[in-house]
Amino acid sequence: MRPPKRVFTREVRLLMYGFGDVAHPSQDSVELMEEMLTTYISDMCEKVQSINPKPKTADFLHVLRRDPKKRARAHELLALDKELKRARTIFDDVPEMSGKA
Amino acid sequence: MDDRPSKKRKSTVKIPKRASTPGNESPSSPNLPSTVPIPDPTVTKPDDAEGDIAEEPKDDDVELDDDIEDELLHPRKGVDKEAERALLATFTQEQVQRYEVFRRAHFQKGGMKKFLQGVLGQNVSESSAIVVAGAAKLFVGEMTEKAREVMEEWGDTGGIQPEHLREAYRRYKHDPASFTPAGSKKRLFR
Repeated sequence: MRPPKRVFTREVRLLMYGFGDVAHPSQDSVELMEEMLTTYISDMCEKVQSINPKPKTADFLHVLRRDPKKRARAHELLALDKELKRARTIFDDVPEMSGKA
Repeated sequence: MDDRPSKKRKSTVKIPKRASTPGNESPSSPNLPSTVPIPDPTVTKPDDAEGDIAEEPKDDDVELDDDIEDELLHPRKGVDKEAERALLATFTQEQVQRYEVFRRAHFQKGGMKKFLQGVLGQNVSESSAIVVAGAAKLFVGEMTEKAREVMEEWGDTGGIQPEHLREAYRRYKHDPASFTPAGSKKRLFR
């Protein structure tokens, strides 16, 4: 089953500019880039699913193991996300506890 | 297409690239505050240091991977804010604008999660979506940068055209250093 096409167009256009294209990248290029990206992600999913039919985060990381840049970035993002979540729970706990009390 | 990348052209092409390089190592921080330091100015230093210390035989794949990861992860911890500011100060207005877009633009976790669930046909954890979203941003960055290289070789200027992207993708797939997911070799773009 294929997901709906063209869900990342906006981000892709911004990122192309951010990474070096002109301020208003050509529509054709953006569309092609998005297609390349969705192919890339789908291929990744295929690979992940071949490792584990019910993929966990670790399986995604495993698939990225040969791409040190992406893998390192993924670890970094996960660490940051963890930190954010922890900070949020600390804040959330306060009203919750007072509500219970 | 003749390959005559004159010095002039090179410089015109390099300008946007320079703006993009600083983030090579730090792209895609979905939803994260901009407290994340930019590693670029420091990246070269740890790079060198690491190279000096760890002159290990490159036969060991795992070792090598870890080294590279260290290089990429380390600069975050002790990022040289001064150097970062100094670098930003040298940016032209255009470069600053581009840099801001580069830092801010990212794939939303939610959107990525939905997309993944559509592809996989099952639930996917949020952290998986974060991993893929980060990889996706880097992928777009790599493709854009490669397309720029192609343009430079072909002596083209202006915006990236689909043919540049196709060539970049072709090279990406044949680059043994790159991660090529299963199946992408068989696949051809229309």
